[in-house]
Amino acid sequence: MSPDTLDLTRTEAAHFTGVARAAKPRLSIRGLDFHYGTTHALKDITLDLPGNQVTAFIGPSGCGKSTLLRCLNRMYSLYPGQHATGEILLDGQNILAPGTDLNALRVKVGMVFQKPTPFPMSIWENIAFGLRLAGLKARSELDARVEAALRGAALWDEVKDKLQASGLSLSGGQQQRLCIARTIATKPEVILLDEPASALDPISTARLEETILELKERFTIAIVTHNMGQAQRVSQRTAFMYLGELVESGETAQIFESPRAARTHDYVSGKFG
Amino acid sequence: MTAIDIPPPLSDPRARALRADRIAHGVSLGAALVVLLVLIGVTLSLAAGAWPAFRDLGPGFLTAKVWNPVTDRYGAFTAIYGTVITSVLAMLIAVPMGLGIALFLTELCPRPLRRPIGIAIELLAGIPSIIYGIWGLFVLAPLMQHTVQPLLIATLGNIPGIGALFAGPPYGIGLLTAALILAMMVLPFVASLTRDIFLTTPPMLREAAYGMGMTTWEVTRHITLPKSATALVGGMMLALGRALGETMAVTFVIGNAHRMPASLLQPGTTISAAIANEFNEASAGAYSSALIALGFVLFVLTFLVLAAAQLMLRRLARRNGR
Repeated sequence: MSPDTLDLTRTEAAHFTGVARAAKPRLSIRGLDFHYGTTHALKDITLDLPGNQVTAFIGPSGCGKSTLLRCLNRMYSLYPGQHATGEILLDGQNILAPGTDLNALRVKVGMVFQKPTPFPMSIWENIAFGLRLAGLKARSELDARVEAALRGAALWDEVKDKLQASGLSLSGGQQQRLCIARTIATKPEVILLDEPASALDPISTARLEETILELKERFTIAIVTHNMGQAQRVSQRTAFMYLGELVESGETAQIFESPRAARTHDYVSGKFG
Repeated sequence: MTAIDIPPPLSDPRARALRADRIAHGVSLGAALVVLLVLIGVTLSLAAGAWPAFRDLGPGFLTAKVWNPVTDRYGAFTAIYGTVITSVLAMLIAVPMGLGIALFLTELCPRPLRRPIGIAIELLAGIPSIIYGIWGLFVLAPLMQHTVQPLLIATLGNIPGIGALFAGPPYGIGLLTAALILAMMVLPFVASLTRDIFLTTPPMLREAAYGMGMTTWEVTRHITLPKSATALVGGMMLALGRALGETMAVTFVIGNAHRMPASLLQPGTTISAAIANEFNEASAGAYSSALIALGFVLFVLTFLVLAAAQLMLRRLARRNGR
């Protein structure tokens, strides 16, 4: 258990020095190619994700933005026939290197999915579970961390009286915020959001976006979204992808107001996609 | 909206299509009703055939341990005992193994091996019961008699308490051999059912669990199994229902003795084995009525198991908040 515990403390330490480290990229993608079967899904992607910022991946369906996200926590490794080449550096460590401890990596790089995925257990247990995996045992500390995570995901006031109820008994928006709480509870360094609002109603979406903006203060966030408005509201940097290639990346305002590539301009102005 | 949306009056072909719809409805309803009729018919004729035995022997039929056609004394208890013991024992062996196989196939198995093993399991499920029976009698029983049972008697037989379960001479045939054959027969059923249930776990949920840094074992233990618990209990009950009613293979290897041995190595009988074995020679009257009454008991037993399954499923569903 000690490596995980060490990771937590290291991450906590990073939070205090977050400002100093923000200048340096937290994640560096270098010449990334991704294949599954005979499909060449990502072509020579090179991109930096700065710390304590939200980077949005946009592009039409099938452009590879979700695939790129799934490279960042090696989720694709669950499936045979999928492989990535190139480098993805997390704090200088190449996570694509063979022998990378995937379980430890995924503790550092948390992920929230398109649809809410609460585990089949109580609300409290959904969050405490990951903490226990990281070696936390004391009930009082678990309680405190569960509450902090639920507050962080703006869910505490709605569930504080029914922590023992099943996670599945919550509404869709609440379930998604539970998944976010579960992810931030273990204090990862990076949070990946794969179209997190695609199954939510407008009010839940607005609350989720507020939550993301708050989380940016403490985490490095990558979000895949189909919603141009959402990308503009929550992200500081945007990367536009098309047919497996990174067409353009930069400050969100620049991408939307004065894109350099014609294709980016066509996409963000709604001419295709 | 323009006027185009107003449907035109029903033309002839539309009317014919509607009529075809009604006929299809009637035919399928009829087919469904046949199932109900058959069920009611079987129940009624079983009850009618068993009535003389129940009338003459009373509730004592269920608890009496003597089964002697010569003196016209019939008690179902030995057969019920054999049925329950062999089935439960078979499930105790088959369920953990089936879970293991399903787990291997869904989470651990290298992709090229997945299909061959899956197909082998389905083939195993397709082997007729009679083949298991002769194999059990000519291959398994001698192996049990000469190797397995002497070993059990020499080792487990000496332990106080459970020693009684493994006492007596090694006959080869008996309750344990029957349970093993039963386990072999329900294993492919349990394994393929469990695999199918595991595969229904949403991929995104599994990814979310792996995304928390869980290991394969943790994902299985805390996500896949709880998520599948409801369906698993139902599936296991179905398998138990099968084991309870299995006839031919058991008849070959159980020894067909209306006794209630304390030792698992001794011969016994089950309800279906007794019926299959004795129906030929049963004279009309009390003997055949007693056999039909046995059948009625099995019917009720199976029904109870299925009802219990439904009850557990419903309770589990409530607990999971669905």
